Amino acid sequence: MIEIEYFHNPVCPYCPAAKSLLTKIIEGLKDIKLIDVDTYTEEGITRGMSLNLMAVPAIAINGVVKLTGWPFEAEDLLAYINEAREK
Amino acid sequence: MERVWDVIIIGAGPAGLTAGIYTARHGHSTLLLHNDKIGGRALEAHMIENYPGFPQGLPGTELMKLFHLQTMRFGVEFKHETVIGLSDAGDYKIVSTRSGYHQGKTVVIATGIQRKQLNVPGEMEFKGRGVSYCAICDGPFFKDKIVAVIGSGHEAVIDALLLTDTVSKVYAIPGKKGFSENYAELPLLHSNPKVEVLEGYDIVEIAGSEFVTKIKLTGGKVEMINVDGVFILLEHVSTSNILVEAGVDADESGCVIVDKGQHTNLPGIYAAGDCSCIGWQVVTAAGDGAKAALSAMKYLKRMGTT
Repeated sequence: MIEIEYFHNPVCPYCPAAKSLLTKIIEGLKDIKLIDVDTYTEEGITRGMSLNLMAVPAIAINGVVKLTGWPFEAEDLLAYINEAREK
Repeated sequence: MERVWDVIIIGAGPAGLTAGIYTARHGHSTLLLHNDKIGGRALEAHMIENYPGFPQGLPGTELMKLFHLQTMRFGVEFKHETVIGLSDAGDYKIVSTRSGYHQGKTVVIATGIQRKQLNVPGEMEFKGRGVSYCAICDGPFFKDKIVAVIGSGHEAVIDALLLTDTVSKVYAIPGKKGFSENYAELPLLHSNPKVEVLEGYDIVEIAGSEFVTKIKLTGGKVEMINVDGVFILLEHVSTSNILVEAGVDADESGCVIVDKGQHTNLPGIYAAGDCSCIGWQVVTAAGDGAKAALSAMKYLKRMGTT
């Protein structure tokens, strides 16, 4: 199972667009577990800082930050997902 | 003969989409060129609560999806192409893109604005690794850290103050010319013990290794400051260099100059929305788009081309 953490917060103007693309990409993929991390919660910001995150939206795959900021490309995300599958 | 569109719209934000709804609904062949996501800057709005007709509010993405659907309903043709030139050939205008060119009897410019970048070494390299363009979004990541806020506008002042709730120190760096206006919050900024205002300096470099560690300044005694983050909050600029080259009048900030009917100085060329730096709201952009479309349709009728 590939664990994707999606970091966002309610004031981030780019996050809904990032979430929309992310949802579209992983739709139907059965080996993905998506975890929403709200960085406006104590738990969320702690998790983000533990991964040295400095911006949202961001996507971590299996505990490693792969994409930060918006926009990001669907191809890049898919490549990271495939890379995680191969490991 | 190559196709000549009645209307070519450049930009797919609220202004461009509304212009398309109006012209296509009236049966005018309409081409909409866009090099960004359909919806423009409105997509960035987490919640739009002041667009009439939606009393509960809705996310910018949802509102723009509705704009897009309505535009499609009337048959606007969309092409994802980056515009690189515009010229007035008299009876028709030529809009050049990276993929070729298109001819139109009228053109509606709805190119919006983009956030100005610093364009200093390190800015792109450290984007998301200390460089941020959104203090309210990313401020919490800099708890008890030292940050610099670059910008001379109101947003920079407000966000520098906001960041003091989280960070240990804020260097406010408005640039050599100082703050753009005598904002009401400036005394608060100057008196805040966590803030050091560095006036008379310009930032020339952002440096670090994995993350930002320092910035280089010019213009005063301080040359290097250790920081963990750099918030770049420069004022917006129009994206209309191409238009200026085409002879479309713009002011010093690059904002396209229009009259009440959204006419530019060139016949048959109109501008609407944020690129004219008026309104800055989805509802005003939509209104501008409608006015530009009405003016374009009057022009087409006058020219006897419909």
